[in-house]
Amino acid sequence: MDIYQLLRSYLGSTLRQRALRSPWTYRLLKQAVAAQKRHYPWQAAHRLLLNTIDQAAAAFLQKGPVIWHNVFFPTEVLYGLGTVPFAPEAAAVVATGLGIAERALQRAEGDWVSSEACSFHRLAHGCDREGYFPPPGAVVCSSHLCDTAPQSLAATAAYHGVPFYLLDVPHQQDDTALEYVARQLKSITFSLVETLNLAWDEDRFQAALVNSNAARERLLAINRLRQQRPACIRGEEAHSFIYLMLAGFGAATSVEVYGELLTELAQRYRDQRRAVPEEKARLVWLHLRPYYPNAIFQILEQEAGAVVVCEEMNYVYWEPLDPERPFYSLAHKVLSHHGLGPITRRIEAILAMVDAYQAGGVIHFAHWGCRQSTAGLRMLQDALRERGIPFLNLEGDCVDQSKYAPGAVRTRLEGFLEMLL
Amino acid sequence: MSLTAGVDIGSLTTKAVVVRDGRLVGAAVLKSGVDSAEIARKALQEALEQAGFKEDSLDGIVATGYGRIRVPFAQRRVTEITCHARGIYHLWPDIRTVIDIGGQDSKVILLDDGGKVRDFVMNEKCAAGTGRFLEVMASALEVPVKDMGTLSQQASQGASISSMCTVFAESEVVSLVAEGRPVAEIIKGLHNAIAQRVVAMAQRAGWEEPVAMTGGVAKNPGVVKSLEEYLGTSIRIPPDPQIIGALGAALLASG
Repeated sequence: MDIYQLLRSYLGSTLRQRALRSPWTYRLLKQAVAAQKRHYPWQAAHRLLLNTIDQAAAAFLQKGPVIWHNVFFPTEVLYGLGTVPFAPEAAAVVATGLGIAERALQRAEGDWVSSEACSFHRLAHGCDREGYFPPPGAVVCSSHLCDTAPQSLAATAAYHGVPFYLLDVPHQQDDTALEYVARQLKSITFSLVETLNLAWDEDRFQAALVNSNAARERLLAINRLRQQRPACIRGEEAHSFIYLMLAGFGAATSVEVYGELLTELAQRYRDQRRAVPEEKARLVWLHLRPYYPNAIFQILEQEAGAVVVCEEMNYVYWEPLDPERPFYSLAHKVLSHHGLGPITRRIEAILAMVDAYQAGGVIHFAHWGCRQSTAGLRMLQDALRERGIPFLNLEGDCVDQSKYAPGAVRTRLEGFLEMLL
Repeated sequence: MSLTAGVDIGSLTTKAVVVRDGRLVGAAVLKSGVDSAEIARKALQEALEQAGFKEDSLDGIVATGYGRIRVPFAQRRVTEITCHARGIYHLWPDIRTVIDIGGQDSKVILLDDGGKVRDFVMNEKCAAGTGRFLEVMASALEVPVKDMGTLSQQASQGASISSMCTVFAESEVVSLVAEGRPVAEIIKGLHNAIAQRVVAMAQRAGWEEPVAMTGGVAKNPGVVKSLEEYLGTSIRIPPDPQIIGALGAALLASG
């Protein structure tokens, strides 16, 4: 039984509202996934999927106050409050995998959502209005990097008639900016407590930061392993864990998943169990990837032996948090993102990745409507060219399959590989 | 003796070239069809006939172009990016930028001094500014595509074409004809529109002189002139720009 086909047929029908709000859906799903445990090449990925099902169940069954957030808002706050975080952008990825994206995108178009906007947000809008998402009790959003998120999520909060909290993040990283962001984080936290009638538990809040630090340590260790040659995990596989970076920091379950991944990966390095039979090139991958069926990683990694050894989205850009000073350290984390501020910060970070991972090439996936990632590409290209590092800007869309042209993508990838190899 | 062949299966035409000891000895250009493998074989046979050889004399065949994966008799498949670079490098090793405008795509390819591809930029999901664009406009203007180049040179200025979408540009062209704008000026305007688009691609790539142009559209002197004006440099055109990809493929087949 293909559980994804079963889900698609379930969700595509008028029963979807009932299906998503039935505990049986999640019980059956977990059982089906659990039964396939031995088919997963990475047990950490299996655990991640089970945890994600639990999180989805908590959100759809309203096991706690559901708070929508964009992927750059520090989720330590939400886990620390004991709420159920829900990331519509990440859920859009799941919608793509479940084959309901086309209908949801049509709904967004019908609602006058600009087709030039980021497809993650267009899709999230459509999924929400089609009844695929759990209603929020509140919406939180940070202003940095993604310029579509504040508009999109503010509109969603208004649609649902719930409070919207914006974390206004400046471009500077000085003490004034730190103070400003920290004050807002504290204000948002206690506003949520009051508005949603939450029980403030300082221990639980600090525990979220402790969890975040533990997850960070494990991810750093994973990334250090991946700097070795040859690679023992393909980029396509490592990409699955980006979800934790975007929606999982602060949760104890994220620590478990990273811990399991670290154990498995370390063993593979000890056993020298290569990711591909012959590693011909090592690549850094910038931004995200298409989440519908596509041949990109097959062409790169399996056909050509060009392994993605580092994903920008898995890069640890912040210092450990201080549970005694949660808002300041979280503000520091937010302001530390290399994508914030002058493009030189991002360029320096990417060059450091190239050096640390001994990469011979860089691929940027230019997701449709993502201005924060694509705007500075000329300067990035020039910086990489100065270092003699081949660079490919691959235009496409992470969730809208109508924008995927298999032949054109293959030509660009193979042309790049011919430059590289 | 080394005898190799290159087959370039494009969206509008399929080209084959036979090379003996690095010298072009046979070439053919056919209209592409539904059965890429059959057309590729026919083109190869024609080129071999011209060269005076049979297929079993070949030491290697490389396929290129979008249809390259559908050529079962090729030993290797190489992208048209690399093949166009190799083909031009064979003719002019000093060229640093190749502009290739084909039936449905356009590309700017940068070469290093060894003829290796340094970088490339391609048009994204839109055939505006390609051979197909010109075909649609030629039909709207009721002039043969092959005459567009000479006709445009009769105009001292080009009409402004604001739309880059082929469909909307066609609509604009029809309006300009209805207004009584001379056909030569409309065509020059279309050539300018293509040139602006391609020059933007060239700037993204970081183009350098000297520049050469390949692909069927390079046979249009009007487009070449517009490109030269917008780039501010002269552009070299090979004797048969349409077969450069196949030539590069044949050269790559010899190692």
